[in-house]
Amino acid sequence: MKHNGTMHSQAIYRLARNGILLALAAAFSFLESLLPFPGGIRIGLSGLITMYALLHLRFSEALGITVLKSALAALTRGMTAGLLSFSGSMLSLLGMLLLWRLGSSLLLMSSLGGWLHNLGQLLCASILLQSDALFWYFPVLTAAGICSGVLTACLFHTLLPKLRLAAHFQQRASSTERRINS
Amino acid sequence: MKNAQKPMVFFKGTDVVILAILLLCSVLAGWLPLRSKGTQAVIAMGGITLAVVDLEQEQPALQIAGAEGFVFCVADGAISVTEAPCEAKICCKSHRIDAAGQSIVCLPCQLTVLVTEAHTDSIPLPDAVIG
Ligand SMILES: [Zn+2]
Repeated sequence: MKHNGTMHSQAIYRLARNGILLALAAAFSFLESLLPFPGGIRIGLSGLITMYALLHLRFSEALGITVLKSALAALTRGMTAGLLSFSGSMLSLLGMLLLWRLGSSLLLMSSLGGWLHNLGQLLCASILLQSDALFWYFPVLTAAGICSGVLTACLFHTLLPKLRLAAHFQQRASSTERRINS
Repeated sequence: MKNAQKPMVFFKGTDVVILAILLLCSVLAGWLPLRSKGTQAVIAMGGITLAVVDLEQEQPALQIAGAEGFVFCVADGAISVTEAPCEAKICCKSHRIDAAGQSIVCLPCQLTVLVTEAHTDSIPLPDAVIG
């Protein structure tokens, strides 16, 4: 049986952490907008956040951040951008979850995640256009998705352990927990 | 359900093979059809064809009924979008296209310009060409 105080501090910790992650994802989305592809398709730099959420948080939290990130895109850049963002990041998230469960390496999971992100957007754009006219961008989007996925994996692999951000936050939360419990 | 943090290797040898095959397949699928030069451009909105433009006929400022606000330029067997009613104007920044299979797209307006090869045996559609 958990103490009430513990539940409370955990909830606040999760809320704050997920809020920071969502803000980071929004910042990455802005950076992506500096590299426009035809039809408003974007490379998935914010995949870094999706991957962190998938690997280190509950799946429901990763799903929540993904959905809210797309809602943010819809609010700031319009419904079409929101739909593109949603289909891309959703396909990417589910694909990466599957690859992770299948025992894929971090690099493969991330690069296929990047590819799926672009594939999802291409499919969504094609449905919106009722046309396969965008298909000739497929090789560019594949290359861009893989590149962004490899970049994401390298950043994830090298930066995260050095920053010890997750560990630090985790420690803080659990020490608060202990204090409240004792 | 909390995702278990099982150890995950960074890289496997097979990764390169899988990614290389994926890249190769996408390049073959996407770019092999582009090798022939197109002779006409199909301009459509929301999947409905508005006009079939002959790329051999030079038209510096082509406007098409149903695609209000758009201005196309047909020159040297290639077509480009020079003016568009959308906000981002990504379609106007697209390069001129001349190979069969290439396209210029305006997602906010649902407009597609797709270069195709005219089928020599098919009946020409003069009434679809406006401009
Ligand atoms: Zn446009």
